Amino acid sequence: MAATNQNKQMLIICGVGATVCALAIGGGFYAQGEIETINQKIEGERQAITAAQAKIVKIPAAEKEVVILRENLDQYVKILPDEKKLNDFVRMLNQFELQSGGQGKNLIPKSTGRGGKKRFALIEYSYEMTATLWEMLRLINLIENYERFVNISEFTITTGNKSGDSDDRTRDGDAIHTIRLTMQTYRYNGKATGKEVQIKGYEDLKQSLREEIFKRMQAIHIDKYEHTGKNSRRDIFVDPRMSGDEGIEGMLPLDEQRAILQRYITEAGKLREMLQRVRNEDTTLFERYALEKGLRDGLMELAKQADLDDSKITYAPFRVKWTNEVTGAIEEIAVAFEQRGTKKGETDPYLPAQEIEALVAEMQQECENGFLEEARQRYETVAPQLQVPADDPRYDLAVDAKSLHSKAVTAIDFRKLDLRIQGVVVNRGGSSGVLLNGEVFEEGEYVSEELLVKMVEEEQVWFVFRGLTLVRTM
Amino acid sequence: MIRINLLPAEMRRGNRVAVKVLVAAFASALAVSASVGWFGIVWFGDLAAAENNLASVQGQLASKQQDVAYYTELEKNRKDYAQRVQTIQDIGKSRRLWSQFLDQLIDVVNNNGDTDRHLAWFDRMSVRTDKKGGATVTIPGQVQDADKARLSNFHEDLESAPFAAGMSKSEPSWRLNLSSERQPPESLKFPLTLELPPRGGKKK
Repeated sequence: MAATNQNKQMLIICGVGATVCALAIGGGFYAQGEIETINQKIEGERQAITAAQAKIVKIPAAEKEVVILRENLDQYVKILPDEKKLNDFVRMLNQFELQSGGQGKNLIPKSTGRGGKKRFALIEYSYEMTATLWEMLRLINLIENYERFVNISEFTITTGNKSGDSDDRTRDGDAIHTIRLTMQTYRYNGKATGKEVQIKGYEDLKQSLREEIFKRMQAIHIDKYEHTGKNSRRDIFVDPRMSGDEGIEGMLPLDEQRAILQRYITEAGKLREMLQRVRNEDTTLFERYALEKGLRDGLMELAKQADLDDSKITYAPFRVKWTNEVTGAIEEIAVAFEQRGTKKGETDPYLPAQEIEALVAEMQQECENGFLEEARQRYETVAPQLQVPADDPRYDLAVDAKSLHSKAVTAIDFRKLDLRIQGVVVNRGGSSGVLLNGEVFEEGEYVSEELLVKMVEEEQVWFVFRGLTLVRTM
Repeated sequence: MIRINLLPAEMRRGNRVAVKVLVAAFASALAVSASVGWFGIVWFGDLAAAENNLASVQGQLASKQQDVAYYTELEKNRKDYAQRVQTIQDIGKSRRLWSQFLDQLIDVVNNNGDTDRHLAWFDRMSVRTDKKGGATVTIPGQVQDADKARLSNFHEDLESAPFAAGMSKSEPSWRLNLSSERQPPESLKFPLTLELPPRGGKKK
């Protein structure tokens, strides 16, 4: 009986102990599982913190980028507006017509339906005008250089006066043609994905980044081309042959014009040959003296004769040759003859290093003393002799001279700007402002695309013009 | 025979806790203590520490969320602006400057006044661009004189023009034309088509 009791006791004790142990161990393992889960969460959160930290580190750079881009938004909008702004487009076309001399006949919008889902929507216009070739070229050039992006996708030129004879189908002696253009412009289709972020200290940031903002604005450009004009060229849509009655109307026959032209070309060739001999180091002093005298007299005589015979060359193709190979050649030889003393040897077409150094020093001094025009002229007089190749040791000096010339030209252009400073407000703790031509501009604001108000002081205002910092005193 | 144990109950041998029971009880107590102790350490120690750690990390993350949201908004702004710049560049690259092309073509035709090599003019001009940016220029014209070499010279000059990179051109062909009103009366009429490649690549 007692043994039975003992066994029961043992069983109870062991059973209870085992149950409690099992519960505790189970609980322990459950807790460990929880810990594992929590550790995984912690790891995830830590990764999220690392990622967040990586983003936070980028905030200053992102802020700068947004400020630069936002400050240049006006420039983007000009090139690619959000709205159609077609009234401005038509006004622009009218202005270009006036500038070029062409006469518009009609402007009709074309329905396209293209580009609906693209980032830009296409707007097409067909336009008809009458103009001379040079007026048309000027107009197309103005359109292509317009601040808003315009693409000419199609055009036709129908010659209005194939003979080029003077009648009501000519203007200033040039034939009038009919031109039809299809112009494409675009509206930006991209919708902003978020509201404009408020950046703390935006104005200060803008101030500190103004140079970068200006540089970036300069970098936003679409290819442009500067058309240089007629330049004695003939209209390629006009038959250049002489008409049967041209000789009768007091104009010289073609053969005579050709003979005159050829005579002058031969004479110019002889003078060029004399110039070569003058430059030749083997030429003796006496020979050189005689050659120089002959060349000087020959140039004067030929230029005088060319003035007299200029009106005799009327045939368009001969006019081009006359301009290039006679009058142009005479000027070229004269310039080369005048500059012969600056050259030491025939083989070196560039200025010696010492002379470029002296040029740079003089230009520097002239720029500092405000003699900008003199600095510009000094450079332009010898510009052809400064086109030194990059592998020449004088290249850096030539670049310095060119840089000074560029600065002088920029400063001259700046001087010509109509900038009337009517007052300044200098704010030591914040942004100062200037009353310019009746408008108030704060520091960092653009007066025009190329002109930025950099700093306003009591006695002077600092501007950035084409990347160059310039001061205008009161 | 009946035996009666007259000892008090606690003194009786048979009623004392047996050694094996004591051992079992002790062992059980030890095991329970160990397991409960381990459970306590894990639950109240490690688990609590992990929970605290998690709360701390979550706090750190929460404190950065505002900056992250700010950065995200900045990035959206930046992408909006940058996309417009990209669009400008994309459409800008595709444009051909026709004023430049015409200037260059006029130079080729004028040939610096050298009328001996060729003297050409055009009857009309038609330009069409395709969606890929290529262009077809149709310019039928004439060269002065009946000398066919001049037509070849003109074609050669077109082939070496600044705009000729990647360009394909119709082959030279001609038809003699006579005009009693002009001097010289002979000219060679020719068809001419220039196929200009898209900007930045050759047209296939």
